[in-house]
Amino acid sequence: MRRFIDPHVHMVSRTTDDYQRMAEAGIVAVIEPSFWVGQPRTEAGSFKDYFSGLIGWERFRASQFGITHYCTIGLNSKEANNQQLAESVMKILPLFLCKEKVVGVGEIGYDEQTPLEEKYFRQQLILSKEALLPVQIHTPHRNKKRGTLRSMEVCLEHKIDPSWVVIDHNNEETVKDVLDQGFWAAFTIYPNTKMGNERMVEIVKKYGSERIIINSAADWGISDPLAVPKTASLMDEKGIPSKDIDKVCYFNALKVFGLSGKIKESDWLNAEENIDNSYNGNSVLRGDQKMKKVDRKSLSKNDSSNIIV
Amino acid sequence: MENTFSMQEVKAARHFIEKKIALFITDDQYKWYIEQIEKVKSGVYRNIYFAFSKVSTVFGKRILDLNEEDLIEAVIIRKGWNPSFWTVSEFIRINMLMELTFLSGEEFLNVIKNIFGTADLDERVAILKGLPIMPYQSRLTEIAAEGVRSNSKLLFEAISLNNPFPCDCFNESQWNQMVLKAAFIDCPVSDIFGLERRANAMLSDMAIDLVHERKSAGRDITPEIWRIIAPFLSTNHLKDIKALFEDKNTLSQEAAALACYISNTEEAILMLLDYRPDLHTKMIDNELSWQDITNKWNKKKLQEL
Repeated sequence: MRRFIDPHVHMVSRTTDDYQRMAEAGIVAVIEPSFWVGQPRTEAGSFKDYFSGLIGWERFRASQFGITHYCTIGLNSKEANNQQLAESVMKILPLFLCKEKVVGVGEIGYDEQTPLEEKYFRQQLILSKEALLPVQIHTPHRNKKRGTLRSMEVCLEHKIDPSWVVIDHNNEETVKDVLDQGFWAAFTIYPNTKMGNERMVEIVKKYGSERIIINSAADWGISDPLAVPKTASLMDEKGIPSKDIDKVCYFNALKVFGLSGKIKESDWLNAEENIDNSYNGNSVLRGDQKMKKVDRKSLSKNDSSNIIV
Repeated sequence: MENTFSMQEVKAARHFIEKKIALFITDDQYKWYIEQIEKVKSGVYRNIYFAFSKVSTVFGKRILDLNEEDLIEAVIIRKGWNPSFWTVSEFIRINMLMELTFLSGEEFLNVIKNIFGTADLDERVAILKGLPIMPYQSRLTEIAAEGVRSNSKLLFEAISLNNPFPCDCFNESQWNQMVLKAAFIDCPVSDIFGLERRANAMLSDMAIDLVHERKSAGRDITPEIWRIIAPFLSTNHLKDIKALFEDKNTLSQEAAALACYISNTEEAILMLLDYRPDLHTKMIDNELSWQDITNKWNKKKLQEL
């Protein structure tokens, strides 16, 4: 079966049914960028707990379904507009960037393209250089083209190597500039907004598979956590060569986030070995977690044996 | 400040860790470690947070092989301490925290709580496993209780299994919740340290309720649960014991036999002699123990996969 990475998905908003279907569809790893939660937070402590959840509980949840969970940590553009909050959040970011499964700074960038957004975007770019981490950039929904170009300009001003930067949520209007300047171009497949699968197929036909990445950005809105495998199967139907599908749905994400040194194919290919190493508590002897890691087919529907009350 | 584990003992634990770790780490890894500690000690205080996180990337996650002699040495240093499932990184992380003993007690406790507050899964597991050899540990029960409350089995097991901390530091209610939860989520109850020492009537009652609840739901429960019930087995429980003896499953019968034998109450012993006199003989000869029940239950669980 083809393996997939979904390099942008907000699993905190998804159910275990989603994890199960994702595992069945061949998704072996996910990268969860930190973003806002649908409404503004008012305390830095909320961010601390959110980041802690990404590196703790969510990682455990994913592991129960044989999916390896990574994340990127950052102050999102929307909440960067609350200056007092932003200052406090900036102080705690370094504590999280050094964690083992944190593979980038993200998702950062612009929303309304305000001066405050710009300020914290720049500060976080500097942070990414210090932490030796790639950057995952959210491009705005409105005024997208300008926002995208501006994001790249600012990166270059800070002397960030474009091959370390993923520009996300591209469309037909932005992709050429992003690729021409040497950045990675990610595409979010959304049922209603952003990209549709058919359009994505056309983009790969036109631009090839070099530095192009597909993700679901599934979150608490109408979205599809199976967007990556579904788009892959459509590409297959439409005659896109297999090696190109693998690149845009797996290898490219691995390559760019692999620059962090914290995500490797062996993390999931040697899953069994890893469990023995990292999770050698006693439940491994009892087998229930091992079973889930090793044999996806053995996942029963609505299995709650690992969910503790 | 109250101190259940003296600084001298902390030192002994560190000596043990350093001795064992030395055999497994490279010169570069050692150099990295020393550099980090120097930074922390020279006042770059914040560095402890980064260094603590970096450990797993630098040292990897393999289990440190310890032989029987090592484990005996560990138990001498700290009764009940069983680091046989500790990874190299876990040893390093705990040792790193113990380097902070130059701080005052209050400062030390604050750092531990802060690190725990922003820790990832593996870091939390390390801290929970390390609690029994930390200084001022009796002041860290809240962290341990949080591990017990966790929904992540990894965290729950890090504090509850092969760890003497709960036995020494939990109050009865915390202890009972932990043991009951272990049975409830099917963790190997026998790997909890101090089961006999902390046995109590309240726990026994809660455990028998769980047995009834599972029976009504038509679901099984680890036969190890009878180890919790047995020390306070009363005549009220005899009908449950009878049902176990009449169960076709030999594991149930053996658990019933052990429960009767341990309870040492007249009616229970008579029931045992009535149903399985052969097992009575076996127990007198030390040929049947709770560990056997655990091993057989583990085997059964693995076969079910």
